Amino acid sequence: MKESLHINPEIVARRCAVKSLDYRQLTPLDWIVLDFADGLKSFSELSRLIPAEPEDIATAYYHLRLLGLITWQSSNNTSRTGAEQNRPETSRSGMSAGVGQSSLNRSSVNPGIATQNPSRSGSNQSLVGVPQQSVTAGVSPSGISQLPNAGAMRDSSLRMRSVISLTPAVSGYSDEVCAQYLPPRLFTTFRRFQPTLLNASLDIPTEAQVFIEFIHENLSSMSPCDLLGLPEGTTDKALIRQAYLNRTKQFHPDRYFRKNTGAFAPRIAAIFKAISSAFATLQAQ
Amino acid sequence: MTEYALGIDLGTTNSCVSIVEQGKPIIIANSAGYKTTPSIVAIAESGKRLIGQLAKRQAITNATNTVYSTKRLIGRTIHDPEVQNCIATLPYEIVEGPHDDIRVVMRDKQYSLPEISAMILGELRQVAENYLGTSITDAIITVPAYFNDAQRQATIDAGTIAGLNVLRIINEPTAAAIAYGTQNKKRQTIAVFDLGGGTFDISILSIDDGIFNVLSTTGDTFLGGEDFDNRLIEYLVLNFAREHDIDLREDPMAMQRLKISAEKAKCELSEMKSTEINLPFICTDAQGAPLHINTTVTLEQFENLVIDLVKRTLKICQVALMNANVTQNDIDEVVLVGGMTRMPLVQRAVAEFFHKQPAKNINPDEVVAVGAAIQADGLIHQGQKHILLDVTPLDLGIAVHGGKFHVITPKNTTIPCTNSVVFTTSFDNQTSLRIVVLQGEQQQAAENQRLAEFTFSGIRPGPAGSVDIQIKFDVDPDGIVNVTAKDLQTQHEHFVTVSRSSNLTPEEIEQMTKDNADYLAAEKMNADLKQAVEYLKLSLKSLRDLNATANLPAPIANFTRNLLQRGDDLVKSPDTVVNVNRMTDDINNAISLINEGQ
Ligand SMILES: Nc1ncnc2c1ncn2[C@@H]1O[C@H](COP(=O)(O)OP(=O)(O)OP(=O)(O)O)[C@@H](O)[C@H]1O
Ligand SMILES: [Mg+2]
Repeated sequence: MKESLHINPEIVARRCAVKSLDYRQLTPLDWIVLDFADGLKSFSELSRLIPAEPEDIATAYYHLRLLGLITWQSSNNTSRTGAEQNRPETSRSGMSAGVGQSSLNRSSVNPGIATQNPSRSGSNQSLVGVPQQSVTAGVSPSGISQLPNAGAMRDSSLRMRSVISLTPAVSGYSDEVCAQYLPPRLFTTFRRFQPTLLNASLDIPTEAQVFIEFIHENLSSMSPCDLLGLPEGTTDKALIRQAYLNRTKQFHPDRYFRKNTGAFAPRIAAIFKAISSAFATLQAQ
Repeated sequence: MTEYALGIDLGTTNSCVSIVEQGKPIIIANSAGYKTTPSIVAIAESGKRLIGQLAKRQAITNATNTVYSTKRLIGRTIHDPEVQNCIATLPYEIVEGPHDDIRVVMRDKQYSLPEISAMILGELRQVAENYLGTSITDAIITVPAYFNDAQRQATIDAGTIAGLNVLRIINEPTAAAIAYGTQNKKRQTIAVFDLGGGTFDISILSIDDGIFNVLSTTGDTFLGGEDFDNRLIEYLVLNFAREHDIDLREDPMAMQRLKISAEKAKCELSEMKSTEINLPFICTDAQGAPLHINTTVTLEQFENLVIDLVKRTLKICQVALMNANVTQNDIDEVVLVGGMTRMPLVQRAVAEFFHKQPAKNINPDEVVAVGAAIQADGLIHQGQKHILLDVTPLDLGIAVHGGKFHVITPKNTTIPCTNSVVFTTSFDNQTSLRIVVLQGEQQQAAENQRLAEFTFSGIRPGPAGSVDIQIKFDVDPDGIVNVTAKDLQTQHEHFVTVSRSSNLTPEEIEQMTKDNADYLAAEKMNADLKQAVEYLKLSLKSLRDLNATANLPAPIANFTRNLLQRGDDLVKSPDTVVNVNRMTDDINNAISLINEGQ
């Protein structure tokens, strides 16, 4: 199904140039999603336009986000003016690569207010004076990217505009930390997320839940270097060690001792085990 | 309210408790003012439990009802040759309990070993609770790295019986490394050399940015200070036998005295070149004339007696280095733990072996408890600052064809971990497979410790070798082993949790926990009653004084006299706390009435 999708080589080349990406890292579905994502359509709406399940589209979104090709951004009341001023540009730039959005990217969000506002899921129009979110294709200069929250993941029929991401300040995770969860090599064989798994009531920030699930779902296709977040073929023992220690801090089950980790507990354990055997493998080389 | 968790070093000879208070680990001294509590339990004639210093103090006069060194026995079965060895040498009675378990006897009552340890744990918990003024249930207890599963499990049982919630069992050398590493933050590889009262442990760890990574761990559960003592005792007994043709080993009282003197002499020889051993009236000869031991032992003599023990520790160090894939030169620091490392010969040997002087400023008696407390505190509070990557101490695997031990998870594998192997059926139409889970280091299956046994049935019939069965070992961060057997074609599987199978049944543990709690409650009741009687006595004294000095009208004087009489009776035979307190109140009321009337 995905193979039959049309790819416009010109757009591919242009977008990849922005981040000096290897376009082969993108799956056909990624490209299509990139073409259709305008920051307004929900996953299920997109699913009507693209022959793919909403979950697959969500997966593509994450993939694109990992590549830095799209950013989720949000704005709230405090930065409303800024949002308004930037809005025309924001929505237009939804399709154009490489447009900086730094003025919006750092804005903080109050997820409580945002999700309670009925206008966000009920209407397609942008209302002045309420928080707004949009998905933008393109790379922000500050490299900030954010993810939609659990609610949005659970119900993919929610309007995309109402997708709210937890800011690093809210989630307790800095971008650097988030970045460490990402393997540098990306996979063309994505497994699909289970949006129902994400659970805001757990003691794991939603972003971390997404990463845990992402890595867990892709464990079998990850090489030892991938697991440690190293470029393929790394042999420097010190680098390997450092990468292992970093990963340990993220995935050692003790990090979540006595915390409510729900369905993630076995996933975290599985990831840690994979990481330590990856380390042992690389160490033995 | 701040939550506290105990770090407990449950030692063979001495135990120690620590907590983290306001971010700082502290060692809590017991009521006698000592920072370590002897791991000794006794039952007095009154039936009262004596623990620690109190038990040690009466060890000579009450030798058969005083139990010590139980860490050498815990988690073993009665048939264990090492247990048989203990039975021969220890002065208290050791008998066989249900399902091959061991029981020790004090005043005709049998106790399991976890119960004995529970008494010590309870005492330490009390020490900490008295200090903090709150109740604490969470604890990390340390064990020698080389403890096997049953020994760890028995230690957890001890915690349970003591009413503690054992957060985790961690290895003593690892705990010591945590205590050392939180103070010395630089990136380094260290060796922890722990020679305690009963066990020897050596661990190689790397410490890096808050991560404690155990590279290898090994040791000997039957090599410690007591072996050094025994060498000296043997020497003294032999000399005595030569001289008087009397075997002192047959006299438990004499052996007790010898043991104490030998240990004292050993410790003195850490400071001095020679020491005197003086044991007057150690026994009588055939004619009933008293015999004495009065001899001088020099440091050199003593070192000659134990040099092979020290060499044994170094051999084990060599293995530890090899397993960790490092050499002496990679070790940045050597941390000495355990009272025995105070012996100059040990220090010299270690320094020579590792080509460097051991780390200074580490208290070898306290560092393990401190590390346990730091780890416990880190676990229960948000923001785990350091992470411990410990390893499996022994090979884990299953018994295979020909009675061999097939290792699935090799020792020194970082936990948590998962390992699996695929086996196949060995004869046609085999429908079940017996799986025996083992732990140990011997090639022959039978020589290793059996952790569990189960039958994987429901295998698809087929020719021999046609069915693939995967056996998967899962070890979680607590060291609990889970084993799954799975038919790879049908995905039919069988899952067992192996560990947490101790020598005690859950019912037994429950009963012991209840007995312990009952005893403590009764004890507390007695203590409360005593306290109440003391208050009553004070009030009685005030009233008596008042009665004597104040010129009271006859009816009141009569009333007072009557009250004093009843009060005195109650002091003589107090019944319940409530009644005693009521009497005290009555007397206090009378006192205030008289005072008002004047
Ligand atoms: N100054 C000293 N010189 C020599 N030996 C000593 C000295 N002080 C204590 N010891 C010995 O150290 C041993 C006790 O050490 P420690 O208290 O560390 O053991 P433990 O923690 O109870 O035992 P383990 O760790 O094996 O369970 C005893 O055998 C004691 O005689
Ligand atoms: Mg010790």
